[in-house]
Amino acid sequence: MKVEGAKQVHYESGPDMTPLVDVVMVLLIFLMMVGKFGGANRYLESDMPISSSGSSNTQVDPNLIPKEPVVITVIQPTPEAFRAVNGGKINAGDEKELQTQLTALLAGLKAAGRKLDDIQVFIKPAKNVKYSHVIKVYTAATGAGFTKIGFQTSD
Amino acid sequence: MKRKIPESHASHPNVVPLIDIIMCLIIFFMLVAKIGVSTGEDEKIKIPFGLLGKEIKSLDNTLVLNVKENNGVPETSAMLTPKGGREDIPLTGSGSKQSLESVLTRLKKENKELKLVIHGDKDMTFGTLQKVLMAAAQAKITSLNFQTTQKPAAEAAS
Repeated sequence: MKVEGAKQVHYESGPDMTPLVDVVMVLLIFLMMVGKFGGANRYLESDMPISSSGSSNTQVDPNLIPKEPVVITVIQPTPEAFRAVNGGKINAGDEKELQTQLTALLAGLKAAGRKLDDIQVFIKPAKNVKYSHVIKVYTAATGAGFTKIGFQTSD
Repeated sequence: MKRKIPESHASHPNVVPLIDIIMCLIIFFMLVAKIGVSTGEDEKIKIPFGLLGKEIKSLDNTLVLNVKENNGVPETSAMLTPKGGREDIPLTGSGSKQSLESVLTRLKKENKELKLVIHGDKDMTFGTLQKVLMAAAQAKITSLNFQTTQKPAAEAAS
């Protein structure tokens, strides 16, 4: 009979990291799945314009009422298209085209001595115009450099 | 002289750098991620695409108003209290439900710096938005924001 001596004892030199790694991985995946990360949403800021007409009986400072506002009328010939019109100065059915025309209009107004803060833009869409088209017009006006943009309601 | 790696160490990889990196990642996600923070947005509403919008750093004093149309009928809802859920706010009051204008007027009185964020469905008509704008104007809310997305794919997909 052959008697073998005890094998060499195998000592671990540190703590067992496996459960820790498991828990940490679960936490990491949970946070990645549940967390909401900012970046996609943006906001178009607007200050409510003050108008001389309307149903409110509030007395307002006449200086706050804009003089000669730029009114952009928006219609929707088809559900997928819109057309923005302002007299003979603006007639566009595309966001980029509208922005180009509005940029030229703003340059003309500035050349005529108007200050940017005094120029109020009113967007006046028809009732059936889609909100997404309204936002396109709004974005074009913002992109052209106008800062005071509001909405004019239609009957 | 070359040091011999102890047998007990040579049998498995060194996980310490892995744990370091994962711990850093966890701390990063815990700091950056917004978990359990809700402004009352209706995630089902598809908001319009807009490239030029600005990011609002702080949504303090802000009421997010969900606006959509259901078969041409305007529907508005918002989370009026931080711990409460989203409530329907009809444009015209009925029974115990206050109208949107009354709710906005009350909130404006309580908080002079109230900002309104419109989280509107891209396919709703201006007629619906107009009613909301008129209610906001009657409530004397002067700061208004339109929430947009920078993901054109979301708009194109629908």
